[in-house]
Amino acid sequence: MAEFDKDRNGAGADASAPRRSGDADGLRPSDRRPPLPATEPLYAVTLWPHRSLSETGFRTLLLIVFAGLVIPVLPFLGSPVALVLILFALATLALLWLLLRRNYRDARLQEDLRLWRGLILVERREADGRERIWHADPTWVGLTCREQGGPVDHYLTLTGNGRTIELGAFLSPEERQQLSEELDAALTRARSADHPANG
Amino acid sequence: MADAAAQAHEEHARPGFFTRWFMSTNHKDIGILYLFTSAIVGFISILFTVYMRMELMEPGVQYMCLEGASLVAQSADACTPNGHLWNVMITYHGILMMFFVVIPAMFGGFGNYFMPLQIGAPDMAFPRMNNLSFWMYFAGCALGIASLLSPGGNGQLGSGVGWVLYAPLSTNEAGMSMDLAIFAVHVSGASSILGAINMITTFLNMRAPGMTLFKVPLFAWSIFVTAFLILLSLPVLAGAITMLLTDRNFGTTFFDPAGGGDPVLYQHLLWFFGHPEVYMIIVPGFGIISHVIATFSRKPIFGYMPMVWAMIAIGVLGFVVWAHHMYTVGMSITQQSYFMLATMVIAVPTGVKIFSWIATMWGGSIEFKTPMLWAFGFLFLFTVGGVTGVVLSQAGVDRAYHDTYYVVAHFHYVMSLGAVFCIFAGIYYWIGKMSGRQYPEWAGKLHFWMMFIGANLTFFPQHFLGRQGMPRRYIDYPEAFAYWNYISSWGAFLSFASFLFFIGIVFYTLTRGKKVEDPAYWGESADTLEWTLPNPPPEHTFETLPTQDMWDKHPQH
Repeated sequence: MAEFDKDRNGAGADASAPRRSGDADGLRPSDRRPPLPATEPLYAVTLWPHRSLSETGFRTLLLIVFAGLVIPVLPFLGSPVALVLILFALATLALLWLLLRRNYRDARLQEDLRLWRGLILVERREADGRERIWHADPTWVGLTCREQGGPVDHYLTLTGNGRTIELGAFLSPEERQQLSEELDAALTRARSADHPANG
Repeated sequence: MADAAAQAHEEHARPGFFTRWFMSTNHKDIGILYLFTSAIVGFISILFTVYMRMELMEPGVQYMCLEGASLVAQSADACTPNGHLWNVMITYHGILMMFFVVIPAMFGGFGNYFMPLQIGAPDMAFPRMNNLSFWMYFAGCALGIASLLSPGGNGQLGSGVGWVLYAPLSTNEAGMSMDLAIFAVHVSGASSILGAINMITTFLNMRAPGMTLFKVPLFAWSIFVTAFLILLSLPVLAGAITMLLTDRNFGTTFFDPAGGGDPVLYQHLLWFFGHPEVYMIIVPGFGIISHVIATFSRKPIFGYMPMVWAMIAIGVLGFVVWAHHMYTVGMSITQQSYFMLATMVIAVPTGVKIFSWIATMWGGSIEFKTPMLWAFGFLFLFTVGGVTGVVLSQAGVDRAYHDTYYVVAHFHYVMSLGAVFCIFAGIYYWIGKMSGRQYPEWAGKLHFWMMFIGANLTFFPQHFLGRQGMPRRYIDYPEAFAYWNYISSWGAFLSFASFLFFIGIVFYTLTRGKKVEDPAYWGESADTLEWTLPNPPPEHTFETLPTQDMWDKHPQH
């Protein structure tokens, strides 16, 4: 799934992007985090891929497995038999823990979007921890939602500051559609000249 | 930042044969690999049984001679009985069926193929590890066959110690065959543990949005329960056979009284794994049967919640009853009473399941398509096997029945007639989905009736033999047991013929079967997510997660 997920999230198509936001050679103006306005954002949203096991569920699971593996070992404590059994029980438990962690890591992907008058900022944290940033002036930003023919249905992209980025490619099409409508409305608000704050 | 992809990803080029089947990380392809491999191993294992039933058809030894194994009956003076060959047959029939046929077919095959589909996951959580699991299982099969063909005890090939590998028989068996058998179990055990972790992670973390634990279809639940049983019991088996290995090769005395060890300890460890093992075999079958019965009764399953909790309860109880396999090793009365009581309690959740299936059919419009016939067969025969199970659970009665053909009849009724009928139900239920082609209905029905009559003819008389006191694991028997043995052998031949016919059906279906276009070809009461997909499903499924209205047809549970 790792490969497939990458494709779905569009990271695979991102050969031209810098590996890290600090890479000197790949740095573009829009990669640096601009000074943020002091006011509350007009619109803010955080997006992450769907995962059905909660942290509590994760702990409960490990607890149950731990108990299940320990019980058959208990009667043998103090004898060499216990050593052999503990070896395999621990190996199993460790494997389960590592693999579940790994599965969560694949889903650590997160996108933060914040919109102010004069600034739209998207920060994306990759599954491996890399942070990537894009920002632009909302006045010139183009929002496209391609119903069909994109990598996913209702493929949502933002164009501005010389780049086109995708948004929430890991969400369901319905969620993307809703996001697109909300964002469109928010952008209109941010651009409106007659708003009192616009002076 | 994820810059936008210019256009849709181009369709992947179809992978070549080698890439698709040898390097596959696709859960559907891996499921099919599991099904075919277990069918081949199953065929080998069935051949052994046919040869054994030939030998048991008449008193005296006619086929398994020291002069050479023959397929033509030899006269008594031309044939010295070869007990080792007999022991090898029962051993490998057991090892192959328990470790390399039934669990891989249901858990590896159907589990891999349909569990992710039913929960709307795009694939398993760890596709590459899934590939590793399959090839470790394949290596395990190869080691098992190698063990059969390499030098073992009595100066002959193979080990004749029984599938349970009891010490001291297994620690004293000569040759490397026994070591290879231990490695085979090790490798397949590691494969199962990796598979189980994969299934658990997929089930817990990749369910479609909105699909809470108690909205998951019953087959996916049964795979989850099975994965837990594997995860908790196989490490104990791995420990036990590792100790066997060091006892054999490195001079340890875990199971050798001469060095302070205890052979009964091995039995405890083996059966602590072994009893959950029989539930690993049957629980995925419960899942398949639930879907089949609901589909062909045109009703949602009766009592979804009790069905789930019954599976969980059976799984939990499976861990606390192991010593009922060893009433005769010298346990205290208190211990025996406990194991007796705990064993009988299992009849409660099992009864909940049986009655819920019957209640599902009650008032439904039942259609006797082939999968439903197999489910009916399962229901009836599993109940028969369950009833003899309650009889055998009595420590006192078990004194008389221990190691007789009554036990053989009991466990073949629950496993050969229970689990195997579930596998066939699953194959006929899903073959159209997996291949895009449908089997000929008359052929499926004929297969069912041949197998149903054959299997009953094989195993029902064995109850009588057991009650007459015929012990199991012997190549020969006195004249007095001849009558029912003869009938039992004919049953085995009929079952074997039905299996050959089944191979023909599968071959015909895959090459010439009628194409099925309708995704839900069993009608709308088959309403889990796999029925929203074309036949066969495309390489990638649910890349876009399914929405709740696609699967939540019965919001009452």
